[in-house]
Order: sequence, then C-alpha cells, then structure tokens
Amino acid sequence: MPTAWARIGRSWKPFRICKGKAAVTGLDRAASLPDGRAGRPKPIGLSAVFRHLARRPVVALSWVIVLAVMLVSLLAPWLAPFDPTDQATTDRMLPMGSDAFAMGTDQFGRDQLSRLLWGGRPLIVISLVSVAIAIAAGFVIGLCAGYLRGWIDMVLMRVMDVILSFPLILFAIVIVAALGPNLINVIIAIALSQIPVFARLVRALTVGETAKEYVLAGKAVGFSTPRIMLSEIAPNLVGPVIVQGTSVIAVAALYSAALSYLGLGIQPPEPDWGYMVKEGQQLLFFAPSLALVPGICIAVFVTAWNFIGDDLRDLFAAGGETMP
Amino acid sequence: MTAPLLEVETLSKDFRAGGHSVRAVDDVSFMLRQGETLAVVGESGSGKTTLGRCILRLEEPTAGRIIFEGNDLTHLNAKQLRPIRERMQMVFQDPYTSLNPRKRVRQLIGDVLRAHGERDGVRIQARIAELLDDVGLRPEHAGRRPHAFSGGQRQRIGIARALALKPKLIVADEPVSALDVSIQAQIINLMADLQDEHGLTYLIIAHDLGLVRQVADRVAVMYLGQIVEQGASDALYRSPMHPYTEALLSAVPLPDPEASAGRRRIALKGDLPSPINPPSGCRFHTRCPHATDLCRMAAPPPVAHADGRQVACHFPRNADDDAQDRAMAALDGWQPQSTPRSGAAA
Repeated sequence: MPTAWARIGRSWKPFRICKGKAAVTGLDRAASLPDGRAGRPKPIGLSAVFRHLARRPVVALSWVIVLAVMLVSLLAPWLAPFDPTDQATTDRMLPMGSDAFAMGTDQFGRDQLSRLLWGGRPLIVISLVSVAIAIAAGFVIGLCAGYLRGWIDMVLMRVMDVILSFPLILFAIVIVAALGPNLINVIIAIALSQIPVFARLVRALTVGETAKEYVLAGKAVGFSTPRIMLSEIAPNLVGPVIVQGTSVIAVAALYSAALSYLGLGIQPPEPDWGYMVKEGQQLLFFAPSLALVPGICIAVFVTAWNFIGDDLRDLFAAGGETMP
Repeated sequence: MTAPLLEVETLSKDFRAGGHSVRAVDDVSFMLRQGETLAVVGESGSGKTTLGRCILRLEEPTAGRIIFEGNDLTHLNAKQLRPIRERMQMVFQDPYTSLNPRKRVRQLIGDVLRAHGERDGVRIQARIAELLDDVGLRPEHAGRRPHAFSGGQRQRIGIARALALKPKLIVADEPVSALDVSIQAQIINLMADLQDEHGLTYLIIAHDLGLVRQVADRVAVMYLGQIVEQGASDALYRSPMHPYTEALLSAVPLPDPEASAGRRRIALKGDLPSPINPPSGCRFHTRCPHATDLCRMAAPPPVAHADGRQVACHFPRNADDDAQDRAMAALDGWQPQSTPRSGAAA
C-alpha cells in the first residue's frame, strides 16, 4: 500500500485524517499529490459546488432561501403592491386572501404582504453590515494581539473579555438605549457585541500561524512587522473567519429581530419583521397570521444561515487549513 | 588564514516559561571563517536551533555578542538589520511550513527582492529565473504554489529564497531532516555546489552526524545549550575527546555490517536532563560513563587543544599526553561553590 507508507513519514498531517469525509461531501478537490502528501485544496470550481449541494439538499435549500429572501427584499419597492406604511382605515384586519390584499391587512389597515416584503430589509442590512464590521474590527484586534503578544495582547483580550461578560442582549439594549433606536445604532450595538467572537478566533489562528516557519522566514528576509501581519499571516486566516462569519450572521439576525421586537430597532411605522411580531402578538387570536408569518420569516432566515454556517464548518474541518 | 566572517562571543539566550527561566543557549562562543562550513550538532533540546535563530536576530540574545563581518549585530534595531539581512540568510527545517501556502514561487522569491529595494519587474523576473535554475527547478515552476511541490522541491525553493539577496552566510536549520533519505543527498549536494559557485559560508544545524561528516569543515557539538566540543571534523570524527561526542559517534550507523558489529556502542543512560534545572558541575555528568566527583562539582571550562580543538571536559578522551594537564590547569583557582546544588553532595 504505497499511500499508507507515504503517510508514515513527516509529510503526514493530522487534517488528512478527514480526507474521507471531504470526499463524501464531494468538495474534495484538495490537491492530493501522487505520493500522498498533504496539499492545499485547489480552488473549488462551480461544478464541485453544485455536486456538493446536490448531496446536501438542506444546505442547498438554505442557500436558496437566503438568496431568495435577500432578492425579494432588495426588489421590495417594485414587488410590493402598496406602500407598506399607507393606512387604509376602512380596510382594517382583513383576512388572508382578500381582494387586493393577498395577505390581509393589519389593525391599521396596512397591506400585510407589502409590509412582509419590506420588513426583511432592516434585518438583512443589520445582520450583514454588523457582521462585516465585527469581522473587520475583530481581524485587526486579533491579529495585533496574536502576533505582537505581550501587553498589547493582554489589554486587547481583557477588553474583549469585558464585552463578552455582558449578556449579549443586555449589552445591545444598553447601547441602543444610550444612543437612541435607529438602524445605525442597532448595527453598532450588534457589531460591537460580536467583535470579541472574531477577535478571539483571529488571535488563536494568528498564534497558530506565527508558529509556522514561513513567518520566521519573512522576518529573516527583512519584512516589516505590519507586512508580515497583513500580507503573510492575514490571507491564511480568511477562510475560517468567513466560516465563523456565516454562523454569526444568524446570531446577528436573531438579535436584530429581538431588539426590534423590544422596540429598540426600526421605529414604527416603518415595517420590520421583529416589530410586526410584537404588534401582531396582541391580535394573535383574531388574526394569527399577523404575528406568525413574520415570525416564521425570521425563523426560516436564521435557520438557513445556521445550516449554511454548519456546512461550511464541516467542509473546513475536512478540507484542511485554508480555502481560496 | 582569512578573517572570521562570523564571531559569536559568550552568547546566551534565556526563555521564560511558566515562571521558570530556561537557558536554551548557555555561554556559546565560536567563529566561522569565510567559505567554511560549521556544523552544529546535538540532541533535540540542546539549543542548536535557538543558537541559529539568535545569530540572525530572529530571537533576541540575552547576553553575548554576535559579530558579523566586523559589525556587532547584537544591538541593531530592525531597520539597521535590514542591510545585514542581505548578507546572512536562513534555510528552514520544515519545507511544509516554511513557505507561505498562498504565495506562488514567483511571489515567494520576488517579495524578498522587492523588500530590499528592487523595483524593476524585468530584473526581478530574470533574477527569479536565475535562482530557480541555480537550485535545479524549471522556469515554469515560478507560477506554482508550494502545495504543487514535493518536500525536496520545496526545500529547493527555500534555498532559492535564501540565495535571492546574494548572502555571504547561510544558516541552515536542519535543512534535510524533514526529507526522505534519497532526497537528503540531493539537497546536500546542491548546497555544496552552491557553496563552491557563490563562495557561501554555511552554519548547518543538524543531528545526523553521518551527514555532517560529508559537508562540514568543522563541527561543534552541543549539549544542554553549551558547546562541549568543537574542532575540525576529520579529527573530531577520528578521535572524539568529549565522552558525549564519543557516544554520539558510536550511534552513527555504519554501512559495513562487520565494522558495525565490531564497534563498541556507547549507550547513554537516561534522558536529556531538564534545562530548567540543569545538573551541577559538568552538565553531562548524569549520563557520562566516566564521571567522577570532580565532574559533579566543577563545570569544566572549554580548553583549547591541538589543531584548534576545544573541549569542555575534565578528562578528555583519545587525547595527547598533555591534554589532561591542560584540562586540569584550566581549573586552577576553582573553589567549590559555597552552596552546592543537587548532585554535588559527594
């Protein structure tokens, strides 16, 4: 068994244990050299992505849901039959399937379908933007802490610990309460609360990369410290951070909905799924769809992101250290 | 005799680990002449890698001086070190981690040139092609990433990178220990050819004495952070004077089974002691078959013997008649320490 022999040597790397798993997922284009040496996964082609998704229907469905929700929200101004804030006082509380109002109307006579189409926008914007901010800030903090170590590491990580020590929702409430409830402040609140997640991850990865000799080689040839951090180490961390990012998007979406439900997010009359749940909940027995439909929308969107995050995590555990 | 290219004077390096201070390199002195190959050998944990890294100032030495081409490097800052880095380079141990997996060979080498002020793209490409040719790779390899290469090829890339700035000194940290035996010879031959071609000086860190014998002009044997014996490699292999060197040499496999069977194998007792709490006196006394009470109490200073040999042992082996006297004379004025440490009780 030539491959078995080749693995006995130093070239054997622990992550190759999972090679079988990667093969099952169909994404294994990892360059396995003829002698069995471990290699970096090759860039993954579109056909490999489709093959992978064909074997994971739930993940494929999740991607469809996420992309569809985002597309529909993006196109809401054209898709929505009415202005979501227009009140038709004569048409209040119409049931689903009414003429002109496919999803009925709420207690103010606003078209529920239009509100649903528009109501996903804050959630999507808040979750994507806040995670992007958290990744950017967490990357810088984690990279500095992990590479420079010493007192810088100490100070940065203790600050992260302080942020983590607050219950997340309380932390967000404090910030929104202090700064005022609007889209920007909710984004700030959620981004700030998620920075430690990425800072810790990036720090840990940086410590691991720094132990590799290519970092030392960079020092030996005279690269500056920022150069080593940004152009040597950072590109090797991008993959795992993106994976973590997809999972945190789900968390951020959930908190955005929660803040909105508590009245700390988008202010009425602007439509937002979280606030629609709150408004509809008072009428749960008269018109259950008013609260349930936006609630289901939130749950489906968050769950889809969770499935995507889990799937990417599995792929990374199997596929090795980095991804293109 | 040419002036020394590199002088290392009483170099020490301490690491702090969990409240303990570990002296990884302890009072090491040696020098290296232009065009020479010095091999530093020793067990894992003997401090040889740390020594190599200290010389390039990849680790900050705790004490001592590093003098390269007449300049004291010990206290230069990062900016002052940059021009020095063009003159001394390093080849790393693990070809699988010493090349950034995201960079193509072209970038791996080109970045080094660019970091040292080369801006002309055509000249960079020409230099890359030249370097790849030097190390026996083909020009089309420049566009590939490290994962596309075998271990031996990767080490060639590492050597090309080290050569990019036309250094005088190359510190090679176990350059072949991660490679298959058949590939080891290729890389060693390549390094020897490059030495002739470019007039390189090598400091090779290794643990394979058989390999070292082929390439090294001089050998320094390290034990627990100290150099216990150094000298011309032929003489050192023929008649090792330190018992540790003797034991190491007796463990080198011989290709001739008869010679191998007839040889006396010196098996050392025990493991390498912890450098956190090194033995008193001679650090080797816990494992030395010839240790006496003197060895347990007094650390033998390095003593110069014939032909530039230097040995730190009270009772050198295979020595000429005066060697013992010299070793004892070096102890003149030595007094037992007032608070002898463990092991000195006798």
